[in-house]
Amino acid sequence: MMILWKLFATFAFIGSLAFGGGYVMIPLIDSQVVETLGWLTSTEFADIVAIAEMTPGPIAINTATYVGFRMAGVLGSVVATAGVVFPSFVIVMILARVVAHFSNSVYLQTALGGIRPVVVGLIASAAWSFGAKTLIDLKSWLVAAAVLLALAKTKINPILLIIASFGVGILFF
Amino acid sequence: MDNNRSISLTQLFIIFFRVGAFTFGGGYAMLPIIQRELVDKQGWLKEEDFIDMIGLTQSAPGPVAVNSAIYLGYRLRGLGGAVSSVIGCVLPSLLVIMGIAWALSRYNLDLLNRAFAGVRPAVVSLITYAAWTMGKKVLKNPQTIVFATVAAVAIIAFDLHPAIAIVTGALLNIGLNRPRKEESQA
Repeated sequence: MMILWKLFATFAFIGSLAFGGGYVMIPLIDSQVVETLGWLTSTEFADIVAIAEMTPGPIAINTATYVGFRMAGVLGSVVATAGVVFPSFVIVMILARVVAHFSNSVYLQTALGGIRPVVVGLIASAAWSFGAKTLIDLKSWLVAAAVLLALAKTKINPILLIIASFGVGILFF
Repeated sequence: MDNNRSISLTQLFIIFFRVGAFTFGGGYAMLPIIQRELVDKQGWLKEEDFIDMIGLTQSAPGPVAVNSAIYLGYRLRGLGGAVSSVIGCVLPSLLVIMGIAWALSRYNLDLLNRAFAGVRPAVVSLITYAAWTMGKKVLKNPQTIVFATVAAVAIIAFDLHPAIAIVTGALLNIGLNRPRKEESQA
C-alpha cells in the first residue's frame, strides 16, 4: 500500500513540473526514480527510455507505466500513470474553464491572436529537430516525402500511413 | 463547442484511444490524427479552436497528447469527457508497456527496431503537415509570419522553452494591438 502511494506521489510531482512535454520529464524521472529513490539502476532506466521511445504513446506515460510495473505490478502501472497525468488533468481543466468563461474577452482573443503564429513556429521547430535526427539517408527522405505527399494530396487516414511506414521499415530498413 | 450532448463519451474514448495508440516520436505527430477526427470528420471543432488548444495546453505541464485529450474532452463533454478522453489516450501505452515489461524476452527486438526506423521519417512528415495546414490558416499578415519565424528560430537555435514562446506571443500581441472593448482584434 505504501509503495502505491509513493508511486502516485512521485509521479504526480514529476508530472507537475513537466512543462513542454514528455522529453522534459526524462531528466526529472532520472533524478527522482534513479538517484533519489534508487528504484532503478541507470542502465535499467536507459532501457526504459529506449522502449518508451519505440512504443506508441507519450514517453512520460510509458516510463511511468514501466516503472510502476517493475515496482508493484499491474496496479503499480495504473497508479504511476494516474499520478503522472493528475497534475495535467487539474491544470488543463482549470485552463479550459477559464478560457471558456472569458471567450468573449478582447484581451483573450488578442492573446490567442499572438499565440496562434507561435504555435505554428513551435510545431515547425519540432518537425525541424525531429527531421535533423531522423532524415539521415535516401531511404528515410523517400519515406518522409511519400508520407507528406499522401497527407497533402489525398484524404488518407494518417494512421494508415503510420502502419504502411512500419511495413516499409520491416521490409527495407 | 461547449458540452455538446450529441457527442458520446464512448466516441471520445475511442478517438483518443486511437490517438494514444498511434503517437510515436513525441506528441506533435498525433496532431493530424486529432485534426482529422475532430475537425475534418466530425466537425466538432473549428480549425482555430484546435490551434488555440495547442497553444493553451502547451503552456501547462504534461505531454501534448494527454493535455489535448483533457482539454478537448472537457470542452466537448465536461468532466466526464475529460476523464474518458484521457483514459482512452493513456490506455494503449499501459497495455503495450505492460505487455513488453512482462514478455520482453519473447520479442524480436531487431524486427521492432527496423519497423520503427521506417516510422520515424513518417513522423517528420506528420509534424510538418500539421505545421503546414495551421500555417495556411494562421499566417495571413506580416506580423503573424514574423511571430512564427522568430518562435521557430528561437526554439531551434537558442533552445527557447515553448511555454515562454507562447506567453511572449500572447503578451506581445496585446502590447502591439492594444485591444479595446468595442473592437475585436486577432
